[in-house]
Amino acid sequence: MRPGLAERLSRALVSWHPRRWRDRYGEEVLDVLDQHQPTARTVANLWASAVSAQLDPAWRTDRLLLPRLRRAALIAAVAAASLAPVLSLIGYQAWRDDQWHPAAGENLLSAGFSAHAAILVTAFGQAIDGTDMV
Amino acid sequence: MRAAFDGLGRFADPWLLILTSLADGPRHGYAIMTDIAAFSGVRMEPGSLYGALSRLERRGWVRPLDTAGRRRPYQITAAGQEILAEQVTTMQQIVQVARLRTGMAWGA
Repeated sequence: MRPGLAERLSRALVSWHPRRWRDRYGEEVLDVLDQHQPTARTVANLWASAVSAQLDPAWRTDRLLLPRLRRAALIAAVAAASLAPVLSLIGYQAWRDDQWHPAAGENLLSAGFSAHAAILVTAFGQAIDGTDMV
Repeated sequence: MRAAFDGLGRFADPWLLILTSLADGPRHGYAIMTDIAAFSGVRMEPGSLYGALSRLERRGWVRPLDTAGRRRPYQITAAGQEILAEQVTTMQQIVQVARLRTGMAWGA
């Protein structure tokens, strides 16, 4: 790799690091590159550094992190809302088939959640705590 | 303290080289690189240097000093000196055993 190209690539790769990393170390690294003769090894090393910093939670900015968290929370809420009626229906069926006996006073919603354990009992032949139920 | 060093994994060598470089006084990035090349022959690249420096800072083993232009010197902390001394002691023990087992004379 020609020295001029290696130098241009090295400087470009500094800008590939997360903003917080650049705010903290960017000028220092550029100063080092002013004195250092970049080679292909320097380019590969800075590329690996950029990837590592992008994956490091310590360098992620809030601006990038918060939308991801909001999206994950929204997906989890939609998934939970979609599964709730299905689980309730399964629980009601299980209750009607007398596969298990909900405690007195439990309503349909609690039956739905309890049925989840009943399904596990059917699948594995024992309750979650290991007691034989079948 | 030993457990903390065990967690460094493949970064152990750059960390040790940087702590050794800073053991006799603060240095900025390029000075650390040239010093390491002089005493060990290792040509450390900027990406590895600043990756290791950031981890050393997080562990409290080095601290940044005020910038002089674009250059920021780094200083080893008391915790950094302690971990360096411990690592050097371990290395000395390994060297001692290696010399005894290979029949190498001291100072050879």
